[in-house]
Amino acid sequence: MSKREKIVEVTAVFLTVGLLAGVAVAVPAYQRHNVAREAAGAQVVELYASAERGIWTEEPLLGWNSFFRHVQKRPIRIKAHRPTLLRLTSIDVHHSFSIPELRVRPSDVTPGRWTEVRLDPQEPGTYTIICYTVCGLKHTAMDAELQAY
Amino acid sequence: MSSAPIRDLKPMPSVACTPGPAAVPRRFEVDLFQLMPKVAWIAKQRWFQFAVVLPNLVLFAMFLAAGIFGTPVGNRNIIIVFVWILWWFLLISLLVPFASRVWCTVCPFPFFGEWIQRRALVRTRSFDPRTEKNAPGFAIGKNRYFGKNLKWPKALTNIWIQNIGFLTLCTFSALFLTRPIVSVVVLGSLFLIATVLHVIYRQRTFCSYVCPVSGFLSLFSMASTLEVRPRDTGVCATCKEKACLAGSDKGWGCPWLLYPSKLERNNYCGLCMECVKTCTHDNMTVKLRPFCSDTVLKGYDEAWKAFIMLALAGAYSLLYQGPWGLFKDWANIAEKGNWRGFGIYATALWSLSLLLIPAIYFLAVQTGRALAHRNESTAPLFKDVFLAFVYPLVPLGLLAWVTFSLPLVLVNGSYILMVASDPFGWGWNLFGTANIPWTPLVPQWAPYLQVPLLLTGLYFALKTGRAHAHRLFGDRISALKAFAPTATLLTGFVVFFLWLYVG
Repeated sequence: MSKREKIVEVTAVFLTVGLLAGVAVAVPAYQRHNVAREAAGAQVVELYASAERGIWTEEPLLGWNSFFRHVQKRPIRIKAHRPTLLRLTSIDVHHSFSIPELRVRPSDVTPGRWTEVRLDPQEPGTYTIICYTVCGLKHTAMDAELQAY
Repeated sequence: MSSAPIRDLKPMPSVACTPGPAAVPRRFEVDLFQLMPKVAWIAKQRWFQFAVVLPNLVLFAMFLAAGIFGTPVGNRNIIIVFVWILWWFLLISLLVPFASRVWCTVCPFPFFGEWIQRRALVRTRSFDPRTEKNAPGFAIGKNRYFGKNLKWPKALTNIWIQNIGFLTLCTFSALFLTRPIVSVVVLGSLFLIATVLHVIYRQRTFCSYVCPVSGFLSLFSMASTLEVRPRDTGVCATCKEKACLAGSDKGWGCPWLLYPSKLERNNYCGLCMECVKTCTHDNMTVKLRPFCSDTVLKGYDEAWKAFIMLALAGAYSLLYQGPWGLFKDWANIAEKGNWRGFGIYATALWSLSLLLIPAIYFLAVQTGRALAHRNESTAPLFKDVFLAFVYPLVPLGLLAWVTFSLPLVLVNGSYILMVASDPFGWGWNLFGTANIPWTPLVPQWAPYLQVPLLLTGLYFALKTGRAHAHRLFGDRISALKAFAPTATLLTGFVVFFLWLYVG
């Protein structure tokens, strides 16, 4: 193998490993940067809505989880007196997100898209999240507790 | 280490080496490399294939990541939109008809397998068999390979595995066309199988005999307007080195285990350009040629592939573009969970592909033979006539698939722009197109494009079928009688598609 061939081969190996590793690092890094920029200092909570399960959850319903993950209803906890960015998405059908007690008007939550809702709860307490779109057989269960502490 | 001397190198069976009858005489061909010397220069560089596969590999890795970590909503995930809408449309409508199996040139599936096999990404491993008897690796011709390098079992040197694999995948299409994670499982499994088979078996065994995509590429590439062929077969006849087969210090012996100097069909040539690099006489080139230039099917495996592709084009058109919701519910097992309905759908699909259409075809061919030759002893062999008359399903099937795929991309094309900006469905907006509304692109034009496409398919089907009939039955009247039932059947298929699309 000539010196030139050796250089080309080593470059090819580095390119392959580098590009694959680069994608693996760059994609989540860009996502973190993107969310942080949107949040502008606010605490961020991501909620996934699933009509099939009748639930709003912080557990990422991605990949196999979107099929098989059994998710328990848990209160969503945020810090009071701190601006909050709620990022909402649906994994199946259209929903409508609202927290009447915090005067958060119904916002469409579209499958595969992210809806952003900003709040700034001044009082610690428990608030109810409600879905205002009849989203399926478990629509009536599509509520969740938002605990500001 | 064991080695295989050059004189022992034989191409695998079932490849396009045995001369077949030329049903349609070639009218024109253009030596693309002579016309565009810069393209020839690029194709001859050792880094060429690496340079085109690597970006594709990175994209593929990103698609898999999007399927695993991205949104489970199909139309917002790049793996669904780019693979099953964009890639499929480009593959079937542009790459295959105009560039043969050029997809195989850039396919990422064999990347790691071939890397392990060659222990090289760009360079070759050549050696002089007279002086380097103990060089590491397994010697084939003048190249050295690593891994087991077993020969694929002779009984499986056909495309039956590809036929069954493709049909199986297509049976569950409603599942992986809509669920990113299932697409990951399908594509990831193929990637793993390709890698493992490369380690165990020789060269591109996976691509030749196992890859389900390769199966239909092989069939439809016969119609393509591009080919890799020798410039002058006389030069090959006198060539002593046979570097295209045995390899050399410039390149690997044909990874597809073909004998490039005797290539007569596109079916099993992956356009990797190794023969172009290795040829000591600069005799291998890429040529432009008329549509439907390869017209000979060589076995029932290829014939059944044609039946499967036609049946699937019809079934998918009914399923995805017809107004019958019941069929959709049957096929959509993931969401409906109707196993009885899915059973009916799967049974109908498999029966149609493997039994019903072949049986109707058998009847048409036999009727034609009986009409043309009352005396059984002078009639051409059934197999010859059957394979010759199945060939028209190649242009017809290809155009039927293009016809089916066209409205899919017209209606869903705007998703391509959306996911290009937000490939994972995480809320990105890279190019400012993430939030454009779903906008079907002139769907009202679809029928005006579909009708000419189908009629073009029928024209080529009848043209090539008639040429085969002339070759087999000699006189014009006998040929007409022999081909008439098959021609009627082919026309019937087109009428069915026309009814479905514009009826």
